[in-house]
Amino acid sequence: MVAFQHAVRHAAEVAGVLDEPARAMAAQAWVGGGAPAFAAELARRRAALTAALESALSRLAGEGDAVPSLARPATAMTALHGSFSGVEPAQLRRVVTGLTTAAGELPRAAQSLGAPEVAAIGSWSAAQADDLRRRLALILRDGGTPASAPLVAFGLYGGHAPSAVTALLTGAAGGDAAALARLVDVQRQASDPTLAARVNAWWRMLDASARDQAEKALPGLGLLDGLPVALRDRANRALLAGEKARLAALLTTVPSDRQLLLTWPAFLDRVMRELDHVKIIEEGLAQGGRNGRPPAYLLSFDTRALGQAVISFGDPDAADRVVAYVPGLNTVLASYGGDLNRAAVLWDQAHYFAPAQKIASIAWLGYRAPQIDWQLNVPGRSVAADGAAEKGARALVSLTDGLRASHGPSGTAKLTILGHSYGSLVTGKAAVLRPGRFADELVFVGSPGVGVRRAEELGMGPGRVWAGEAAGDPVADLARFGNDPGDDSFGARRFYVEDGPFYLTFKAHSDYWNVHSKSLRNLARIVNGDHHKVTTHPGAQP
Amino acid sequence: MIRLSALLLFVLVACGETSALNERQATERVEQLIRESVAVIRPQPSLELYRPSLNKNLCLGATDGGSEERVIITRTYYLRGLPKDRFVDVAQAVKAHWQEQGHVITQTRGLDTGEPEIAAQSRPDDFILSLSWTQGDVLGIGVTSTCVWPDVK
Repeated sequence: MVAFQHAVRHAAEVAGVLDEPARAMAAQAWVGGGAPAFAAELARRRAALTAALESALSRLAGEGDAVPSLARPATAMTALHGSFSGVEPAQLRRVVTGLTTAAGELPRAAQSLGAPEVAAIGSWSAAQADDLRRRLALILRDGGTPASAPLVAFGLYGGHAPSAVTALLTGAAGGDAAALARLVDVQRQASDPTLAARVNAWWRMLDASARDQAEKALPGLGLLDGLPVALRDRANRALLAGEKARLAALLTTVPSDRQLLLTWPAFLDRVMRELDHVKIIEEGLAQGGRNGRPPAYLLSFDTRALGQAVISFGDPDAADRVVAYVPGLNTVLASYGGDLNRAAVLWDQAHYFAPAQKIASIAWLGYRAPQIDWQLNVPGRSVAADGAAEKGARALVSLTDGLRASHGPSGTAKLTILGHSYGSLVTGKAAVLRPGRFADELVFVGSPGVGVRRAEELGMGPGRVWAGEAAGDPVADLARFGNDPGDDSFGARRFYVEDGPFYLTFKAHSDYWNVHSKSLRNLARIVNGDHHKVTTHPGAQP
Repeated sequence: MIRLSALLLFVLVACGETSALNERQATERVEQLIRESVAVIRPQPSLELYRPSLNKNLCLGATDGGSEERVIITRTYYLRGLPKDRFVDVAQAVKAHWQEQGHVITQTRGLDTGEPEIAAQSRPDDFILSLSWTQGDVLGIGVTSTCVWPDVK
């Protein structure tokens, strides 16, 4: 009888040995990746431990001995977290410490209670504790506190989140350019919402020499969404300089092959065009770091064909407020300077209103925008169908997945996507691809439609979709791609912008960024989160 | 097709503001508008230049027959040293001054909350003027020119 009571006490003591790591996991399962899988596995082991202990007590019980239930209350509910939130190291250590304790206590309990199943759970705990301890040391080596959610999800608990891209990441780490190109291609398809976070965790878990090696061996490394933006900028600037030198060298080359000589002038035209694109990117980058503006970061570029470039004024990884501007119809790299300037003046205005906030303003030409079609509003004959928007939306989603993955942990940071003209259609389609996870705010200006009939179909939650359109903007009233976001029935929050000229011109379609205009001030207030300061339509008229 | 033709016609007949000022003159005018506006404020604030406003910005979407190679000149200043309980009086004084000058007030808001926002268009030259509350409870004043030709360096 006394021996049984002693066994009951011992069993009751060890029955709760996995409670602490289970509670810690419940509080961080929101990070996703391997965390929920590991939390579920831990819960199974915890339940198995209880059952094994109760079973052992049943075997030890004599006549008249009652076997108590060792079941313990379920773990606490998890709280909701912001999209850039991180996890405190102390919470991560709780998991490792708890598993280490279990690894020490369960073998002793197994022996004294004659329960080999308990020993097996102890062995599992020891193996997990070792793996997590090693991974935790890597995660915390850079001193970042709290740890970012993607890093926790796919670094710390990466062993519980297997993926088909692991081989590509391993290949890229070894300097395999084809693996890198395949990764970039997979990213632009946006079919895996975890990919950017996996990329970020992969990079952060590499040791310094492996990072150096990958950076040297892979000139296109900076194109990968999810890598730290400072690294992307460094790699992409080096790539740009390399391209510039290569193209310039071609200009002074005379081919010896006669056949090649015939097509050389046309080829040189393309080279010249690409060099023009390089110049536009360089000039855009030069708009940053000047007169109090933050440095510009080159997130990606492509000088071929119509050209693409994604440039941020301010470091989005460290920003409290990030806004990405998606340009529309007819945007090409050759005339991208104005779009870059729009991103710059939005930064100026937002920072003027909120000087204590860190702001990053991105100009995103990451897709091939449709070129002008004067038959835009002729149903059935328009080339401005939504095919380009579909493709662009996937690339845009890849950007936002990447921004979330590489951002430093923050409970308050917000991401706004600003779609102009056809860019609003790209934005709308992107939002639908990541319902509830695409951005914190969506803003449409001069929109011909965003691909849905009502704001609520964008999956943004109430009050998170904004629309501004100038009277006299001919594009804004087309409703070519779904209902007009500027119409009351759409359900967006309409903010005030100046009327365009009384005559119908495309000037009104381009006036949303005029410095100190009501439109730009409203855009800045939205980006800053000062929503109560936004002048709603029709607004306070003089 | 009728719709298309009408659209093209409107675009073709479109004409608008053309500034005769050059960059230097526009900068002087911007500074003058700010100086005169600040002069009516009591107590007198100290002006802190918002440095990003020194950046010349492109003349975007110009359909006034002019070139997009022109620039827009802006100057923005924080008005330091003004107590928050004076913000509404300051805004009303500046607004009254702008009206006296014949400028067109295009926005008045925030007087009821003590966080004013006043905007206007200057006459005769259509510069944009604004007085705004900013985070940290500091008022700022900004003026932006129309499109002007940059000075040749």
